[in-house]
Formats: sequence, structure tokens, C-alpha cells
Amino acid sequence: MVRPTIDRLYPVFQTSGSFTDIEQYFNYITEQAKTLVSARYGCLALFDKITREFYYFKGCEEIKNAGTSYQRIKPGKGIIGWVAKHVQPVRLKDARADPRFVKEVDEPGNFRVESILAVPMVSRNELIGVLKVVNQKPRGAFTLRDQKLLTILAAHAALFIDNIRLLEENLSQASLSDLGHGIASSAHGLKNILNNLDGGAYIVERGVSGKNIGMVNEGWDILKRNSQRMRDIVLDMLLFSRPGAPQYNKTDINKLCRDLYELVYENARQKKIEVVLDLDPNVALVCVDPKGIHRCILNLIGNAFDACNKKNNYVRIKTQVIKDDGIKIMVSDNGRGISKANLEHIFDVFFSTKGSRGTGLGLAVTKKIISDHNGTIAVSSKLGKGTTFTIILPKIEACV
Amino acid sequence: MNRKQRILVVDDEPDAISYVKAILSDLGDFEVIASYDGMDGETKAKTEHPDLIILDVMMPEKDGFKVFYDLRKNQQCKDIPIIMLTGVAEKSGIQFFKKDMKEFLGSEPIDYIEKPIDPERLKISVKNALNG
Repeated sequence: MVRPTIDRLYPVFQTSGSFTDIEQYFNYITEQAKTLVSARYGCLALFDKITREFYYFKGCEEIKNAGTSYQRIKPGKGIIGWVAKHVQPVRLKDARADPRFVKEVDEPGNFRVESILAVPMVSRNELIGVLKVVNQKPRGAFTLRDQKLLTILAAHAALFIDNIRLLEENLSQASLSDLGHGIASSAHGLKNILNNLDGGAYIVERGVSGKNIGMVNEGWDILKRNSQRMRDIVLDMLLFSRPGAPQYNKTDINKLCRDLYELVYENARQKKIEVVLDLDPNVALVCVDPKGIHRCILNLIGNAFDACNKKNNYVRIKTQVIKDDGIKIMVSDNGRGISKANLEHIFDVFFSTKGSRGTGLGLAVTKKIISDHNGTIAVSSKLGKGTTFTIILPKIEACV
Repeated sequence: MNRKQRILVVDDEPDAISYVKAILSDLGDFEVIASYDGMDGETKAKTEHPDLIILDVMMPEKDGFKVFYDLRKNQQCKDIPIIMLTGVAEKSGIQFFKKDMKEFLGSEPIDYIEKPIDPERLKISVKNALNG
């Protein structure tokens, strides 16, 4: 009898993973339980952790017959209640003769219950529910072997249901809280920029009405600076939400770095930061998404600038050819450094230590772009000494 | 007393300080002291003894609420009126802080101004603070 048992259980174990709809799975398990032990009826009662009540799954045949969609069962009531309370199986030839039998719980349908077999479903030491089968057909009673088989099936189903629930919980909690937190923090960042734009316009207006060209220039600079910031944030949001593959193009990374140097030069000069280029001439044309990599290095430079808090600040951009024709890009600074606790979270989306100036998007986007290139990004930092970000990009053959 | 009234503005956004400065210059002839972070703002409050502090809430390292607490515990600064600037839209959050401040410090900021700043609203608030 070993062989047919394996043949019956095997497809159940094999198929479980393909269910995405939990109700369909309940139906499936109930059907399998009936077939496995040749029972006339089968039913799954789920345990509600919050109310500590049971309820029959609504696909349950007994309930269908009774004409109600589902029914709650007080804990400890009936045979099912006993199974749940003691976390032990019950196997009876004549259920109605048992003192634990309660008609409304154990025989809610419009058919007569005779033999019964009910086993607890447990996962991670927590009760998920009770799987029961009723009225063994050929013999009129369930055997100990039936009980063992049903116990195996119930254990498997419990684990699977538990996993699905965990996944659903995680998904909804993580995405909802991330989303809420994220929207709040980006809205905050955007509000600050809006405030500055309002300020710029206000100062320009005052300058114009008072014929004060100095004020007009000041306001105009504020407007330009903040519309650029707005652009950066929106671009980061788009890049982060866009699932698309990189747009590969043969790119001169050293030239890209020199262009970035030009771009940030004025900002660096104002902040008294020396930007040093240390470019390996052996870095030939490489296959990357130039806009994406530009964004990454610019984000890293921006962070490096923000970290600078000394008199002799420098930010170094270094390129290097590594083995197998990959390349390494390093952006380092001698700024304030990142604490160990913060290091763990710097790539998390919406994590920021920059107060109103941070959106928590920059490094998350950077990491996403680098991952899309099958590359890696690593960070090393020492408080008070500085930080180095290292991007490693493998050779990619996607360019035409 | 003939000296100019002095207003300390603490915000990590230099452009936001420029905005507040422009609004204040429309209101009167004040001496504006700018500070770009919480720690520095607190130090300047203690050394400069301004007539009013306009304090941003969300700043890195030391935020506006912490600065507020510490100034209220300081004998020389505890009576300086403070207007808080905030990008936090949630009224409930502000209510919470208000209650918190009142309970623990017996004091709260004289006003909250939400960012983006409404210039007229800030002017009224500053006028009230300086005359009150």
C-alpha cells in the first residue's frame, strides 16, 4: 500500500506551489483529503487568530448544503473545537454518539454524520485550522492509516497557507508603509522646493518693482537652482519607478566624468571643494546606459559635496580598468563619513539623513541603475574621515 | 530703545532664509541673523539674544523641535518668542507636538507657519510676536 499512497500525495505536494488563489487552494485540499481517505464529505475550518473563533471555509460542502455561506464556531465547541483546543486528531466511527459532538458545529449540513476524522493544521507552532473528513465510504470507519495520511496532508497544507498569508501580510504592509512614508517624504522635499520657488519669485518681484537689479539676480538664481532640484527629484522618481532595461550605448566613461566635472565645477568652487579627476586612459569605450551612469555618478558627487564639512575638502572621481574588461568607478570624499547604523540603510528608498534637502531617492536610484547593468555598488566609510563609493560594471556586449 | 529689532532665522535651506529675509524687509527694518543648522541656531540664540526666532522644523542632525526644547530649558532664552516653519502638512503631527510641548515645557511656539510660506501670514505672525 505504500506505492498508491505516494502516488496520491505526490501530486498534492507538487501542485501546491502553483496556487495563487488561496480559496482555490482550500477547495483543492478538501478534494484531495476526501480522495485520499475515501470520504464522502470534506471540510476545512480556519482559525481566526483575532477572534479566536473558527469558521468553515465557504467552499465547504456541508455549508453549501446548509445554504449559508459560512459559519463561525466558538472555540472549544464540538469535535472540531476539541481538535483545535488539544491540537490532537479525533477519529470516530460514530460521531453522533461521542459526548463532544455538537450538531450545529459538527453536522451543519443537511446530511447525517457518521464516521469522522479531524486533524489539526499547524504551522510554526500556530494553529491554522482543522481539516476534517466525514463518512468513510467503503468501510464506514476511518483507519489509523487514514489518520496518518490526513495528518501529512494537513501539515503540508498548513505550511502552505501560512506561507501565503505571510507573503500577503508582508507585501501589503511593506508596500503600504513604504508608499505612505515615501509619498510623505517626497511631498515634504517637494514642498521645500516649492517654498524656495515662491521665495525666488517673491524676490524677483520685489527687485523689479524696486528697480533693484541685485535682488532680481538673487531671486532668479534661486528660481534656477530650485527648478533644477525639482527636475532632479522628478527624474529620480521616474528612474526608480521605471522597470525598463538600460538603453545601452558605447560610451566614453572618462569623457562622461570630465563632462560631470564641468557640470559641478561652479558648485564646487562656491563650496570650496576641490574636485579631482583620476581617470585611467585605458578605459576604452564601454557599453552602458550613458544617461543612467551619468545620473549615478552625479548622485554620488552630490552626496560627496553634501558630506564635505572641512576646510580642505576634496572629492575624487576615479576610473579604472579591471579584470575581464570590466570597469571600476570610484567617488570618494574626505567629508564627515557615515555612521555604521546609517550605512546599513543608505541604499534604502526614502532613507535620508539630509533633513529637508534629502528625498531618499538618490542612492536607491543609483543602486537600481547599477543593478540593471548587472554591476555592483559598494561603500566604505569612516566617521570624520570620509566615504568612498565603488561601482563595478562588468563588460556588457549589448551594444551594436 | 532705539536699536533695530533682531530676528534669528534658522533653516537648512539657504534659499528659504533668503525668502524669509525678503518678506521681513517688506515688514520693517530688522537685523536678520541667519543660521543654517539646528546646533548653530541654538548657539546663536544664546549668544545673540534675538527678539524673535523663526525656526524650521526639519533639519538634519538637530531638528527644530529639539532646538525649541533646549532653548526653553535655557534661562536666558526661554522667553524669546519662536515661530516654527514646517513642511509637515499633517495637522495631527503638529497638534501632537503642541500638546507635548505644553505638557512638558509649559510653553509652545507662538505660531506655526506651513511651507510654502504665505508671506502675508508670516508678516502678521511676526508683527504679533514682536508686539506681544
